[in-house]
Amino acid sequence: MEQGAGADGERLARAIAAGDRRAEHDLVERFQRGVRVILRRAGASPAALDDLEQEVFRLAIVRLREGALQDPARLAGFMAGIARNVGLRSVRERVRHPAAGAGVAVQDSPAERDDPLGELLGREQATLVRQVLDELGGERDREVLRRLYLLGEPRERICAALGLAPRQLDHVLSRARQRYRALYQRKFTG
Amino acid sequence: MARRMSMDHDQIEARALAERYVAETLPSAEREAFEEHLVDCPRCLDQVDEAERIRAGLAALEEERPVRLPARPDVARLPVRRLALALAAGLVIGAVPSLLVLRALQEARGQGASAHGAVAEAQARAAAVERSLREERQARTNAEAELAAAEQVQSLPVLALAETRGGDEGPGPSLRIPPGAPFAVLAVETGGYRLYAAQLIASDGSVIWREDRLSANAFGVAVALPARLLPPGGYRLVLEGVSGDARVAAGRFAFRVTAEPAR
Repeated sequence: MEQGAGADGERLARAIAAGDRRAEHDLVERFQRGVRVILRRAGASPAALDDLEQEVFRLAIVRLREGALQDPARLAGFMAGIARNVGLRSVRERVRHPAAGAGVAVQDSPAERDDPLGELLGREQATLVRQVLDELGGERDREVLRRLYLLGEPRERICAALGLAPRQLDHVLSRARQRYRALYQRKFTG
Repeated sequence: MARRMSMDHDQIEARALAERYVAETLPSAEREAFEEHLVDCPRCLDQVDEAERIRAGLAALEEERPVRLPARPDVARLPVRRLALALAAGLVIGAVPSLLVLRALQEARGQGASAHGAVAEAQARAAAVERSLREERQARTNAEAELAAAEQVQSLPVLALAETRGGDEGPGPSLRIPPGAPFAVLAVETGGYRLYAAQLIASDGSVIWREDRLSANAFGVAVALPARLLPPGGYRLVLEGVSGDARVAAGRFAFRVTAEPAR
């Protein structure tokens, strides 16, 4: 969180409670990206993301207008909590009422599988990641990335498993990320 | 709610929070604390975006790997007879390369120890046959795994339901779901409609599953439900015949789910 963001958030929350419509617009602008990430990570379907995002801000603004946030300095936690709850509720709804189909209820398919855009993204990213891996060369360095990004292992466990000192791990990660960022920028931002 | 400890970026990097958040391996308290920070932090949002992209790339590369066993075999598509035949064939085929290895070695010996070239050639042939043996063994292992999955399909718990007359009295028949069963099947004999709307209602009145266009065959309708939707308790399956926009009550079927004790 940026310096002073808590105080800004507090001002925003108080302004909305006082009926300032411009502050509501600022709230959306400020938290939109974070809310979408939390919804996505909670398992919300990509197709429903816009509607769910609207629902998050509708709920937040209604409650802020009512002055329901007791500690306005905790605006970020308040927004994250609403986004998480709306995301999880959408997943529960999807499990309870799957789309009409063949009479066999197949539940809990990963959102990515129903998302052609996500699959395309995966393929494009695979090309970049393959380049990074090729340049990294060593099997051990590849294993570092696999363990961190795919398996989500904590750093200390990766170091222990691969016999790396923390500084060596930092070096591998820093090299891989720098190379990835350069390739990504070249490909997607010219 | 208690005020959470604020996070700084050194801490976030040292604990690899962005990467572990994306990989969904953070404990829930740490996840919530990170989200509270993340929702208002462009720097961490960038890091999460990057971790998502790298993860998607690594996952796509993993999927491209040519030889791997499926983590979750698509059990519905596995014909048992074909798999049994494949398994039997694997057993026979697996035996053949072993004989070839022996024969290749015998041939090499018969050509005399002085003939180094011939021995080397025979060793190469033996190595090739051994490779083939390893591949056949792998194929046999795969077939065994598929067969095991297919047997799991055969052992799916199935409950044939009879209509509950006059409302909700009586618990109805029991469905025992063995531990580890992925699905349970409800079968209902019906007549008169090609399409049905179905609702599965738990004993507390909540609708836990719904399907608005369920096709019937000549014998009735069958619904396969994930076993985890059916914890032990009482349920009602409510069917309505669908004719155009109209729906007509077609039956209520009460049943109970009981847990099978783990062996």
